[in-house]
Amino acid sequence: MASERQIAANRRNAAKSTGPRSPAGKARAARNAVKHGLASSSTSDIDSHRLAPALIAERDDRSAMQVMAAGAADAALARARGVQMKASAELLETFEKRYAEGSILEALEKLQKIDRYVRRATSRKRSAFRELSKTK
Amino acid sequence: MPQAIAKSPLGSIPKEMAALLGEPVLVRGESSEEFYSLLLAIANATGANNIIGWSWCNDVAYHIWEGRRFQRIRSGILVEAQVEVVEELLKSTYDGEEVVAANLYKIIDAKNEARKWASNPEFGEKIDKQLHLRGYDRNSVLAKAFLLCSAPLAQIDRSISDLENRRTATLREIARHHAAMARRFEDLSKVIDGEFSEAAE
Repeated sequence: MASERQIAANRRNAAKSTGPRSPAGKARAARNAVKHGLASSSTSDIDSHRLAPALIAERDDRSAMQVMAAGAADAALARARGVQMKASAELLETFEKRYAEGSILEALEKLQKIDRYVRRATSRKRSAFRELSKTK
Repeated sequence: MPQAIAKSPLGSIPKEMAALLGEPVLVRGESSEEFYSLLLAIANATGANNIIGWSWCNDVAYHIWEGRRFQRIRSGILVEAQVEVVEELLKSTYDGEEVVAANLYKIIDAKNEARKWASNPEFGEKIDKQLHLRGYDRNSVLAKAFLLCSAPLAQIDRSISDLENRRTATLREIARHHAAMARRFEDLSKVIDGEFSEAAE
């Protein structure tokens, strides 16, 4: 068991380690717990704006909100697909390396977890695009 | 977008649509040209003529593509499981007289022979005869293999079924989109007819 002196020293040392100080370090540490980022609701502006000009050019009676929602939904689905593709590649690699039921099941489970996000993104896109079609 | 698409007998994906849809997300060894051909076939069949239509077609193409990928993995798993079953059967049915030879066979040859059984049809027949003498055939091997990998196969089957449902749902969205377009055209023709009749009066 640690002595009182050791405990005090540990506390002193721990107080010196208060995490990253630079903005870049803080930004990096902020993403420490991020696994694939699909649960995040934020969408990068570039992704969301990709479809917007074409959707507006196609019909000018669409509201900016509808167009942005459709763009964001489409971008979210594309992002989820990218992550899903990586998981599929991992599954194929696992399979090519060595056939073992356990590791294949593990890779399949990972793929299925990501599929939840794909399903959700697909559903959001469906609603957003349906709104675009409805517009008068 | 690959040049080959422009030469496809089905036509070509409009450049601006290809740019908006982005490069297909594929795994190593999959061909983007094949994906574009599939997308083009779906777009032709559904009459995609705007970004919404093309985007839905792109989704349908992904559902089909991912389903095919799962099918490939599924058959691969089943082949591997069959190889495992044949290896075990060969080991257990080997009747070498010498103990050393029998042990060596069990360690080295059974694995190689099982692998050849799956890849070389002629050699496979030879092994089949050997297994037949012990009361096993291809069906019993397949049944044992199914038992061996039932968990991953069930999971893959669920994923394939999910993808099929999603594909059907997306096709329904395409139909809905067409219906909305048709209603728009109908409304437009009413407006035009109204304007002309007003002008005539």
